[in-house]
Amino acid sequence: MTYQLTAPLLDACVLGVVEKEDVYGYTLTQRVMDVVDISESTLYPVLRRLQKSGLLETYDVPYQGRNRRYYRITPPGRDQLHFFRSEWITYKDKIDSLLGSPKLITTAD
Amino acid sequence: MDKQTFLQELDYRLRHMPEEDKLDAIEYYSEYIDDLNLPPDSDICIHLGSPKEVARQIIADTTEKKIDEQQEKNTTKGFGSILWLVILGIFASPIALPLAIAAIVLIFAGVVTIGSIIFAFGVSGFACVISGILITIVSLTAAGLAQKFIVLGCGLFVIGLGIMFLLGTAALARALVSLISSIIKKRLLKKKAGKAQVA
Repeated sequence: MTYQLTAPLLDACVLGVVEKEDVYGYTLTQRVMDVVDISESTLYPVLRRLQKSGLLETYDVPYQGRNRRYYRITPPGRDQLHFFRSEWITYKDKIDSLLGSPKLITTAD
Repeated sequence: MDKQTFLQELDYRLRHMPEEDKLDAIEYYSEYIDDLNLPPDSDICIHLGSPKEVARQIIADTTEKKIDEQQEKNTTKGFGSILWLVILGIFASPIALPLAIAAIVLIFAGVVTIGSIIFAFGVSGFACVISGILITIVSLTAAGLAQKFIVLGCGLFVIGLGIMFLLGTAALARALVSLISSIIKKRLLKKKAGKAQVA
């Protein structure tokens, strides 16, 4: 990928995924990895940080004789996600205004 | 690397973290490795990277947060404390200025001293090599064969000593230069990071 994913954007993406449904570490990682270029160990610090700042909470579900820790979005997490979304749209529009929108550019492929 | 080894090493690498954070990380990765559903004997590091890298990511993230918190605390100084600092600065200037000059002179003296020591080492090494060569030449004029060999041996020994000295000096100089430059770099980086935080 040409553009780097910054920490806040990664936070936003994780919150976005968790808002749709509760996930555990592995599925979350696979889902984010399908879209953006991250390593399998990128998301743990992100999850931990979001959890510590109260944007996500966890609960354990027994699975095949062990526990699976699921992450769930909290009300403050939802607020933060709304904030991230509006910030993203503002940012995207600003960049588009410099870059030109895709309609005006004929794509190479 | 199998799961057990991976988690053990991760545990070791995270030993300076609070127990709760460490356990959380270990649990997460234990679970993650189970979810990877790898065939036995496969290398976990291919997926997750080495425990060292994983630990570094975790530690970097928590310390970054701590630094942020610290800086937030530091920047929330009230107007009163700034005023006090200014007043203190004015009163302290007659002492602080000479102190600053003294510090600069001290640093300068330190640099000169280290430089001279390295120079002296270099000169000694060079002198050893030169005198070794001279002794080697002179050995030809010694009286008997045995004497010739003894003097020759001495000469070669001194040459070797000199070369070792020179190599040692070069290594010392290189080490000092890299040490000083790394110190300066660290200072600059810290300042830059501070500015970036403010911006």
